[in-house]
Amino acid sequence: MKGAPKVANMIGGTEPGAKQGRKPVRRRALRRFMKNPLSITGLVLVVALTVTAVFAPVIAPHDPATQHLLDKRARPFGKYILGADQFGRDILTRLIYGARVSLVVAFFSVLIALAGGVIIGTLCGYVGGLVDTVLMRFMDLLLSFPYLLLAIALISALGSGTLNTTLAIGIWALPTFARVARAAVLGIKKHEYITAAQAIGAPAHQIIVSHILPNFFSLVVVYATLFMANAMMMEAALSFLGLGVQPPTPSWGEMISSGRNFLMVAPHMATIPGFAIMTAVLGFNLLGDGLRDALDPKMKVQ
Amino acid sequence: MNGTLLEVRNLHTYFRTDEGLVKAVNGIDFTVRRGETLGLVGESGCGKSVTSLSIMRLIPEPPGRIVKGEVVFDGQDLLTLMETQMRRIRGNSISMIFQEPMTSLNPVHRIGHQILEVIRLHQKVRKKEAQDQALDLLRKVGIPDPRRRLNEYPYQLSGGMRQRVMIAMALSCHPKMVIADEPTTALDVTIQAQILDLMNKLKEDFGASILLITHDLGVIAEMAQRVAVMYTGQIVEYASVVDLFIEPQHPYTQGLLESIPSMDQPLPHDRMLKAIPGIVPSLVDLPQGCSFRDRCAHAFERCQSETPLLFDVGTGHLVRCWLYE
Repeated sequence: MKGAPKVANMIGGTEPGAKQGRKPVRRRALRRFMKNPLSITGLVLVVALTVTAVFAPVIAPHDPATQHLLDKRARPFGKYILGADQFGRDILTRLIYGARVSLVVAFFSVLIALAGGVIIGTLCGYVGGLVDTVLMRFMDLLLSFPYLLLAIALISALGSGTLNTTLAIGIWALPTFARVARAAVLGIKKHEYITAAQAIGAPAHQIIVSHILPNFFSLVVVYATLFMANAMMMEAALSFLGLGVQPPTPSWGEMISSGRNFLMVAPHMATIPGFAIMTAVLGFNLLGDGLRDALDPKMKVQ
Repeated sequence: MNGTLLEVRNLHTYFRTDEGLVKAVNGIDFTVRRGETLGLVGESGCGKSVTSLSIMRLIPEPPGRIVKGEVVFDGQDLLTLMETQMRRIRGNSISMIFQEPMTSLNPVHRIGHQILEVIRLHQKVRKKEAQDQALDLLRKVGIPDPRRRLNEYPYQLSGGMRQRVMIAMALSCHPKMVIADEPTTALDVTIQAQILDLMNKLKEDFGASILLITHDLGVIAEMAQRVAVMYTGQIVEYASVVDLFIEPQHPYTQGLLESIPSMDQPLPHDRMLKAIPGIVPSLVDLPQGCSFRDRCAHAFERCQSETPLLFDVGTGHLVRCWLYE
């Protein structure tokens, strides 16, 4: 969740007053993004992860569930590139299929949080008054739970499984998005062009959709990218605890969890999926930071 | 040509704040005739903008509220209309021009998109037709190469250009009245003159009335036929522009006019510009009696105790001062 205060600078969207050349703002943002090696690294990692997830059945050398009991806990760089787990299942294959679960859960939970958070936050920010007080206090209530505890409570209520994990992570992340959106709307609402839009007789829904949303959407997209990393870690944590994705569906968290029992005899079983999580999280963070720097020219001082 | 278009009667708009109740507009009356420009002058915080937003019913509620009064526009009281009816009037019969052309256009939309939005909100026309109208409007407000400008973003335009776009938007539905809230304050002097000329010319072409809000007496002299001077949420003097400049009656108006430096007069010895002594009283607790009395050289006992009424000093020249009882 780092970077949240910096992102706040982006409210208001495109540079007012800046008149360097006549290039469209978007192209300039793209150029800023491409110039930054860190954001390119992030983009490459995320794209690689996505390709792996999408083409998992094509790429994976083995079947993720087939057990080769003779090869159990095989060392890496032998018969299997990254070794095998306690049932002799190929770790590389399970990592590749695990990327699918990780990405799908993270993507859809962030989508839920983004959609719900933006709707609630925008409504609260624009309407204000009692609606704002009631909804935001409820968001505060959700935020007041220790984060893992809230997800655990939700899963206990909903039951485990991929879909419910996604829902739980989405609900867990929703208040943060609502806050970001509400703060942005409060800032934008003060601009004269909103009064101007009211003064031309535009109805409230049109003002929100066409005048307020586009002005902070880039902010929320950046925030969502950064939050993908959080959601992935959350999914891994829940699966590690056995509450998330259920076996035999391969999941990085669950792989660490089972590998933990063999840490002394077969350390690769837990460390390799751990490394995968780290790389994925790093990728999303770099991409998010890069997007923010590219979309927010006021930040490029460093 | 004559006849009343807008009549504001006994309008009160209050704001609830942490410091207390701010009586931003505290009982004002004025009329705008068809085809006329009425100037509303006063310093910052005297309630000029709140008056205009009250007419448009755009006071943010809470904390603000129109407590009482009537705003009769073209025969109907706007304060009694439903929000949906009011939306049909905004931008259509009454439109607004704002102070800051830098911020009154949405930075994320193209100019063309924003003009089209107004046209298509109030007129049932095809996109193509609306586009032609927008192009025509940009031409009318004197924007060179309008076809290219339609596809540009506000940041690509200069301040004067943006204000022209705002004027084009304001005129797009042939409003009966335009409320211009400090339309030239943010522009430099040469551009100011151009914009004022443009507004005067378009007023003739479109036959609209203008409610011109400003703190610049020079702008008033150039634009308005009649003037209302506001102080602490009330009108203190109301006269034709000639009467006001030649024979200002209220001590506040006199002070305002005297504080304009003149080229003909020798520089005062202390090299200080003339000013009205004292500061504007807080709107939260206005003093009893006349709100100008602490800064007034003519104040006497009665000013301490009773709020002065508006007195007619001849041919519709109204002054809120006990001196003229």
